Amino acid sequence: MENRESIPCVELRNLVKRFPGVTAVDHVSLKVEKGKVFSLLGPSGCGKTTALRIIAGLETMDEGDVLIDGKVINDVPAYKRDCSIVFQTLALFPHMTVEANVSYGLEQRKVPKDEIRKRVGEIIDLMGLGGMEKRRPSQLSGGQQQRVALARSLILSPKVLLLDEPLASLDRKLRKGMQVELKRIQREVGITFLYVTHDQKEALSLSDTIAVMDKGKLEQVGTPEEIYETPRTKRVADFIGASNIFPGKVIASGNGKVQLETEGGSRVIALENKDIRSEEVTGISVHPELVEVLPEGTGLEGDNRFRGKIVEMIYQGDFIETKICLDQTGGLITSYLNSRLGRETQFSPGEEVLVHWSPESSNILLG
Amino acid sequence: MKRKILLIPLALLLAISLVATGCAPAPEKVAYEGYVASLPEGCEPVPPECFEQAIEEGELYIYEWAEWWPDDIFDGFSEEFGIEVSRDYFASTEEVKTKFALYPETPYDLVTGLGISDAYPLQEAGAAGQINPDWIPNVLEYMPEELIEMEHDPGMQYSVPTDMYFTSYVYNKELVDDPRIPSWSVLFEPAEEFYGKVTLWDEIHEVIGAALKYLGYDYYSDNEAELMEARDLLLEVKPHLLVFDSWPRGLLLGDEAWISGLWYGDGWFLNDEYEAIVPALPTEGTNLGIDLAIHPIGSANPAAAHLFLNYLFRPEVNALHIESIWYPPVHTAVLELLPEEFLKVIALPEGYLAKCDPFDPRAVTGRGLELRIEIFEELKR
Amino acid sequence: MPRGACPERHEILRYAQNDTKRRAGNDKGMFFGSFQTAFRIVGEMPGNLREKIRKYLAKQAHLPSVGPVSIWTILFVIAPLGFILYFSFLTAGDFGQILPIFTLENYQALARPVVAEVFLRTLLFSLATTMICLLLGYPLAYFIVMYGGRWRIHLLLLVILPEWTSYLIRLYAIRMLSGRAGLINSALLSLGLISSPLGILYNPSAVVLTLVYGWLPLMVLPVYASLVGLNPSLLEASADLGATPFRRFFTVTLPLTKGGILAGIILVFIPCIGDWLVPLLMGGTKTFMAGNLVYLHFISAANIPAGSTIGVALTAIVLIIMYLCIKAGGKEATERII
Repeated sequence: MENRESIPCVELRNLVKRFPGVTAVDHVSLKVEKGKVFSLLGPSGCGKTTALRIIAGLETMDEGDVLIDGKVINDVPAYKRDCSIVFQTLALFPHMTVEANVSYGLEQRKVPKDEIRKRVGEIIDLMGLGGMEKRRPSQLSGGQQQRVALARSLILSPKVLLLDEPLASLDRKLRKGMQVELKRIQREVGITFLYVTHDQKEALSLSDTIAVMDKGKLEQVGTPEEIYETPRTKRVADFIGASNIFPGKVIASGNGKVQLETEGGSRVIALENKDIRSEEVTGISVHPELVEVLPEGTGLEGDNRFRGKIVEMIYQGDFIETKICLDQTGGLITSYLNSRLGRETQFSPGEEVLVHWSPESSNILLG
Repeated sequence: MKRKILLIPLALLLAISLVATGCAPAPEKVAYEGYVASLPEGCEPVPPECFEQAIEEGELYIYEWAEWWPDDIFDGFSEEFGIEVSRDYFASTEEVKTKFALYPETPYDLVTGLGISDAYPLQEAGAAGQINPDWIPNVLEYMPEELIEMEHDPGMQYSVPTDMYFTSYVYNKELVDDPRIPSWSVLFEPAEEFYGKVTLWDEIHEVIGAALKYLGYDYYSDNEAELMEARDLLLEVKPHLLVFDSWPRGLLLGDEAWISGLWYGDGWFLNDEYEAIVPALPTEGTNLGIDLAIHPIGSANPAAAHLFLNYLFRPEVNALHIESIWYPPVHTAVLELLPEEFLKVIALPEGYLAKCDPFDPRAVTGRGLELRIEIFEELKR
Repeated sequence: MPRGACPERHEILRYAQNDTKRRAGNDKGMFFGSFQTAFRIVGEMPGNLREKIRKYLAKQAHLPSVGPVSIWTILFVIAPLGFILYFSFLTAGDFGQILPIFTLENYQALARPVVAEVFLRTLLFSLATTMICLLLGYPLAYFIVMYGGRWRIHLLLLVILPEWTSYLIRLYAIRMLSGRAGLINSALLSLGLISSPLGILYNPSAVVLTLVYGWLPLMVLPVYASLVGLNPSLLEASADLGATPFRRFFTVTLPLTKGGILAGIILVFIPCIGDWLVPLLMGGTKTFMAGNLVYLHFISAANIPAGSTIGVALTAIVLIIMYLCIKAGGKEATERII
C-alpha cells in the first residue's frame, strides 16, 4: 500500500522536445502526485504546453520517458492513453449537441448505451449543465462551453486531466468563478489535474504544487507558498512578481543574518539560511508589497534603508504602484502602497523619501 | 442571340481574314471599259449599272465554310475590282440556319457552301434575297439548263449552284475486303468482322436518305412506311457502329474506323492524305446534291455580290475552286481546264446520274421532316 | 456541303458557343466556385503577399460592386435563360424559323420516352462521375491537406494546372492517348500485356472517366478548402477522447467537411448534366446525353423551340438538384459554392 501510494500519477524523465531552431522542452523531469493539482507555470513559449501535449500523446518527444501510473507510455497512441486534455480553444465538436460531445469518449470506448446515458446525466448535473443537453456549443456562453469541455474529459474518469490554459478564453470575472468551480470539481472527483497556465495568480490559487518553466527548462518546483515567497531564481522571482531583484554577493554573515553587496554597491541584509551556502547566492529579491516608503525625515539607521526619489506613481485600484529611484545606485525599486492608508497617499512624484524593507523580506536568489 | 455568343471567335476570325485580304495592294478604281476589255474570252460582263454600283459599294461580306474555298479566288477578285472582301466562317450549316432563323436580316452579301437541304429552308424562311438574272450573265452563260430550272427554285431566283456533292461512303481497302463493295449494304449491313469499325454521319438527312436509297426508295422520300423501314434498318446497324461522326478523319487515318459514311468529294480529299481510304459510289445510287450560294435579304452590297458570282463563273476561277474542294463542278466549261487525274476522280460512271435523286422539298418540310427528326432522335438516343 | 475541312475549328467554335452558354446558363456554380477557389488560394499565400492583396481588396471595397454584378447577371444569366424560356412556348416553322404563336406542345412533347431515357442516362452518368470524383477527390484533398505541409499550395496548383489548358485540347489529347493506335495501347501491346488494342474510347465508361478527369478539380477545391478550415484541435480532441484514426475520420472530419463535399457534388454534377462535348468526342452510340438532345433539336433539326424546351427542363432539373443539395448542406455548402 505504502509502495503504491508513492507511485506518481504522471512522471516525466529527462523529457526533450526539439523544434527547428528551438528546444521546446529541455531535459524536464517531474513527478505529479495522485489526486493533486499540479501546475506548469511559465511565460508563453516556455514549453509547458508542449510538455502537456507530449503527455497527451499529441506530440512525440525526442528523448526521455513519459510514465502514467508507473508505466512507460512513450509508444501508446493518444487514443489509448489514460489521460484527457482540455484544450485552450476547448475544441468542442461544433456539429454535435452538448450531450453528444459529452458522451463522445464513452461511445469510442463502446460503453453500453444505458451506462452512457446514466453517466452523462451525472456529469451534466455535476457541471450544472442541466437543460443544455440538446444545444450546440455555439448556443452556449463561454462559461458553459468551458463546463462542457471539462465534462467531456471528466466523464472518462481519466488518471490525469490535462488542462491547457482552459480559462484563457474567459473574461476576468468568469475566470475567477471557474477557478473556484475547478477546485470544487477536482475535490469531488478526486482526479489528478495537470494544469498549464501563464497566469501566476491562477496557479497560486489552484495548485497543490507548481512547477515554473522557462525556455524549456524546469526552474523550480514547490508549493504555491514556496514559489511565491522564496523564488529561487531571478527568472522565477521575476515571473512570480517579486520584481525588485538585486544581484549581488554575500560579503559577511553572522547573527543569523547575511550581508550582500549588490552590483550597484549597496549593502542589503537578509536572514541567514542554513541550507544555502554563501557562495551560491546570486542576489536577493523583494516583493513590492513588502517595500515600505517612509517620509524623508525618518532616520537612516537599521537594515535595508535607502534614500530615494519617487519617479512614478501608478494607480492600480487596490494599491499604488510606486517607483522610486535610489540615490545611492540610481536603480529603481518598486513598492505597492496600500491605497486606503491615507498616510501613504500623501506622497507625490518627485518627493524625496526613505525606502525600507525588513531582512526577512529579502529573498535569497540562487540563480 | 446566337450572333452575340459567336462574337468572340468570329471577331477573331474576322481579324485574321482582314489581315489576309488586307495584304493585297489597294488598286485604283477600275473603269467599266477596262473591265469589259480584260474579260477572258467567252465571259459575259455585268451591265454597267451593276458594275458602277459594285465599285461604289467597295466591299463584300461573305459567310462560308471554314477553310474550304481557296483564298486565291477572293484575293483575285479584290485585286481586280478594288473591292474589299470580308469572310466570316461557319463550321456547320446548322449554324447558318440557326443564325438566320433568329435574325433573318443578318447582313451578309453572300452565303456559300450551303447544301440544297439547307439552302431551301433558308429560301422558304424568307432569308434569301432575290437574285437579279440581268446582273449575272456570266453565270447563266456557263450554268447547265437543268440547274437553272430546278424544281425548288426555277430560274435561279434565290440561289446559285456552285458545285455538286454525293452522299457516299469510304472504306479502308487494306482492311476491308467485301465483295459487295460499292453497294450501300457494306455500310448498312456490315459483315460481322467489321462490327465496331463502322461510322455514320451525325446528320439527319444523310443518315436517313442513304438508308432509304439502300432500301430502294427515294433519297428524299416522305412516305411513312418507307421511312419506318429505314428506321428499322438503322436501329439494326446501330449496335455495330463505332460512332456517329460527320468528319471521321482522325478515326479513318488512325485505322479505328474502317467503313464510314462520307461525302464523295471528302472521300477523295482523304484519299489524297491516306491512300488506303477509298470512296465508293454506291451501286444503288445516291442523291444529287447541289451546293448553293444565296444572297441574304440583309445584304448591303447587292451589286458586289452579283459581280462576285459572275467572277466565280469565269472558267479559270471556277477551276481554282473545283481543284481545291475536290467536288464535281456545275460549270459547263471547267472540265477541260482540270488536270487529267483530277478528272478521273470526279468523273462519274456512265449513267450514274440517272440513279441519283434530285432534291425534293418534301424531305425538309412537313411530315417528311417530322418523321426524320423522330427517327434521328430514336437512332441517337 | 458539310465537309469538315477543319474539324478542330468546327469543334472549337461549337465548344466556345456551348461554353459561353453553359457559363451564362445553368453553370453559375462553376463560375462563382472558381472565384471562391481564388479566394481560398489567396488565403493560402505567404503572409506578405496575402496582406498586399487584402489591402488592395479593401481599397476596392467602396466601389459599387452591385452594379457590374447585376449587369453581368442580367446580361449573361437572366437574359439567355429568359430567351430560352420564351422560345420554349413558341412554334417552330417548317424552315427553322420561330413563329410567334404560343403553344404548350413543346412541353407536352417532353413526355416522350426518348427524353426520359436520355435524361435518365444523363443523371446516371453525372451521378457516377460525381461519386467517382468524390471517391478520388476527397482522399486527394485529404492527402494534400494532411501531408502536404509547405508543399500544399504547390500540390493544389498541380491539381488545378490542367484546368488552365483548354478543355477541348485536353479532350483531343486523351483521344490521342487512348485510341487504338494511341500511347496507352501501344505501350500495353509492346509490353505484351495485351494481344490486340483495347477499345478504351467510344463507350459509356470513356465518357464517365473523361468527365471525372475534367471536373475532378472542382471536387478537390471545395473539399480542400473545408479540410483546411477544419480546426486541427478537434481531431486531437477526438483522438484524446479515445477515437481511433478511423472513427476520428467518420465522427469528426467527414461531418465537418460536409459543406465542402456538397459544394463539390454540386460543382461537379451540374457541368456533367449539361455536358455534350465529352459524349460527342469520347462517346459511342450509347452515350447520348441531354446536352446532345438539346443540340439535336436546337441545331441539327433547327427546331429552336423544341431545343429550348429541353434546355428549360434540364435547367429545371439542375435547379431542383441544387436546391436539394443546398438544403441538405445548409448554409455552409451555399457559402462554399458562392
